[in-house]
Amino acid sequence: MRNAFVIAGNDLHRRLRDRSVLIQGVVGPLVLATIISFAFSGFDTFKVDVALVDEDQTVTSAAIVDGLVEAVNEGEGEGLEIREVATAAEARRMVDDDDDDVGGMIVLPRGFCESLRTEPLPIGTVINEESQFAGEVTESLAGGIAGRVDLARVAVNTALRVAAGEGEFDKVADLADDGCGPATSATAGSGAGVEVQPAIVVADQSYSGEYNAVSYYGPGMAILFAFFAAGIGARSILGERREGTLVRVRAAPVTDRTILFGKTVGVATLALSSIVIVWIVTSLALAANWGPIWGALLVIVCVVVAIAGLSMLVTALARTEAQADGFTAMLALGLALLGGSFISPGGLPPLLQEVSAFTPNGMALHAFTDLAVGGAGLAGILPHLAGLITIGACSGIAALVLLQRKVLS
Amino acid sequence: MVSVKTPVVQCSGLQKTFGDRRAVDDVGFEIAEGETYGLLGPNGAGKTTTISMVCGLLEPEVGTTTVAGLAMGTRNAEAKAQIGFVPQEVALYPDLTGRENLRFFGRLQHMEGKRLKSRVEEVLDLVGLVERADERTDAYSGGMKRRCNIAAGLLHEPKLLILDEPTVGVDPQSRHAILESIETLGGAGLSVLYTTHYMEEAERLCDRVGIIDEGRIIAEGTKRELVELVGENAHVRLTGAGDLPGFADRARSLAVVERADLADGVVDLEVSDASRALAPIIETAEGSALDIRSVDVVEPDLESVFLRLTGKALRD
Repeated sequence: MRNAFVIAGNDLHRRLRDRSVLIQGVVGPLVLATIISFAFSGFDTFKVDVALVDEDQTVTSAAIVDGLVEAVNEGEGEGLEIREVATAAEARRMVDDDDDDVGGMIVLPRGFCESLRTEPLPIGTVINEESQFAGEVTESLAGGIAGRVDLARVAVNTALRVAAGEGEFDKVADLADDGCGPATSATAGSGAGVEVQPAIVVADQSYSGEYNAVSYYGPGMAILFAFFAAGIGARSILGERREGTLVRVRAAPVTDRTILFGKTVGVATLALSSIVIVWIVTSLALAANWGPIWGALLVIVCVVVAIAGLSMLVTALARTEAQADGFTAMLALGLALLGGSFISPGGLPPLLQEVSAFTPNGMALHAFTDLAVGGAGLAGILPHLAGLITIGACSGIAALVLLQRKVLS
Repeated sequence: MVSVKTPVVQCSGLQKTFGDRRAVDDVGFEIAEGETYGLLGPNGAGKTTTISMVCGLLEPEVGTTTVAGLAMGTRNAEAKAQIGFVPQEVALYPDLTGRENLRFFGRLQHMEGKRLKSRVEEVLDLVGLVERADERTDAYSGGMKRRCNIAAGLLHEPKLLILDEPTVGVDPQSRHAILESIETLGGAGLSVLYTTHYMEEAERLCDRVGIIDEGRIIAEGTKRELVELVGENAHVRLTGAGDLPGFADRARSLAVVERADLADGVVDLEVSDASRALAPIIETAEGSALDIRSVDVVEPDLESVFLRLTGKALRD
């Protein structure tokens, strides 16, 4: 194990010396993210408005609407605004009419609160496909609401079970029923003489509303260029075979698995450093919002696992360093296009939108947007994280098997 | 001649096939402590494949190798640690300095701190690269790269140093320096496995030689043993003015001369012992009124042994 880190350290030393990683892993994404952000929106003019329709008109749905409006519109951040709209038809008209600058709409359907007892009705969304990021932002907000609703359902069900054990079931059940009463009775009190507080509170969620173009293109470019940085590291195993140093390393007291592990650690470190630097710089200098620190770190680590695995696989499939470079470029650009690093997936044809959801770029960007806009918690981004880890593990294992056969035999 | 000591390397029955071609077939040998053992054979004879199995780079299909009593295998780190391997191609990172290269390879051998630092300086001194140690190795000459290549194999003070044709493509001056340093190491008690297709290097460096051809060791022993094995004799070649045919006839009757031929003005006398044969040959020449211009004694060498054993030259 120690020797794996010696190998990784040597790789990093060499990469830093030739400065290729600094250019491809740090300078590149920062420059491109900045240029694209200016080109598409400009920092001062970036704005996404989302119409929110409450068709349910219950205490619970009203609490969701009030909480979201308070968290987003009254926060310090700029770039995202919730507009309360009376009807879905009116919201749809606003979305379709470019003059209204409404990028998407969210509808809490009639019967939403009642449905929470069994199977929640889906929260409807419509987006303006011509609006940048409207799809990402609207879906993230809706996803955030759905996530909170699920948590609240668990809490209510738990309270009911506890109450049942203490003989207070009817009293608590009455309170829960009052949550689905008309919105106007929210403060009128219940039959049990207790003031009704909605089970779902969204005002304390981390909707900063701080979302600009760099918040999207920063992670997008960081992921794209992390592929190039990781590719430089991964192809080093082919370079070492050509230079003859791989033979000497293999003759040292190390196993082939240790060598491959060391190489993978080097590749992952390059990708991780590249993304983290872009994260810090875009956050501090360009006010990008990648979500809360814990969440952003978690997504970064998982996307790095995916990038490292895919980069090693590309190297394993290549015969020469030049071929590995070509494969890496094709993979990085292909996944960037499909996954939304250049164009928000909302702007893609429906089939490609589906494909986008299965790319590491798509998964990571969804997770970042869910964190930054949707206020998602760990449960909200868990499917994306699991997808990234799965991609990394599958491609990594395939790469290690191939490399052991092709390069180390 | 090396006295009988504990073998540092024991390998037997090594076999390796690539596709339809059997690269190594039933190869086995032992190397004693402090002995320099040469594998002599033409390109493609199986030398590199053999040492790749000895140092754990390749798993043999059949056969075993032990190094310092440890069974060798691609996964046996402990056995690998006993070996210093100097590959045929220069195996250095071109973008690192000589010192950085050595420090990295030293760390892979679990060396750290003062021990690593002092050993790096020692081996740099041994190969004469102290002055250039902080230059990138891509700025080194071919000979300097070769010397640094050897230094990397010596860092961890291995029990066995394996050198795979270390002088290929090296200028005469560097070649001399490399051979000298290997002689020094052998003299200091290090066991050495040396592969080469240069007969003169094997003769100069090796206590014993295994002659390998088409994947098999076809003969093994000291130079003298090998010469005796094939019954190769020394030759005395004499040129001069006078009755050369008459001298050749008289020389044939000498007991020390096995055969005498005359061709292109040179009398070639095959003798069993050149040191004993020289005096009677000169006397006979003078008795034949031959005006001697030159006398060359050509001792049998490994090239002629190889030729006799395989019917082809080493460089074929």
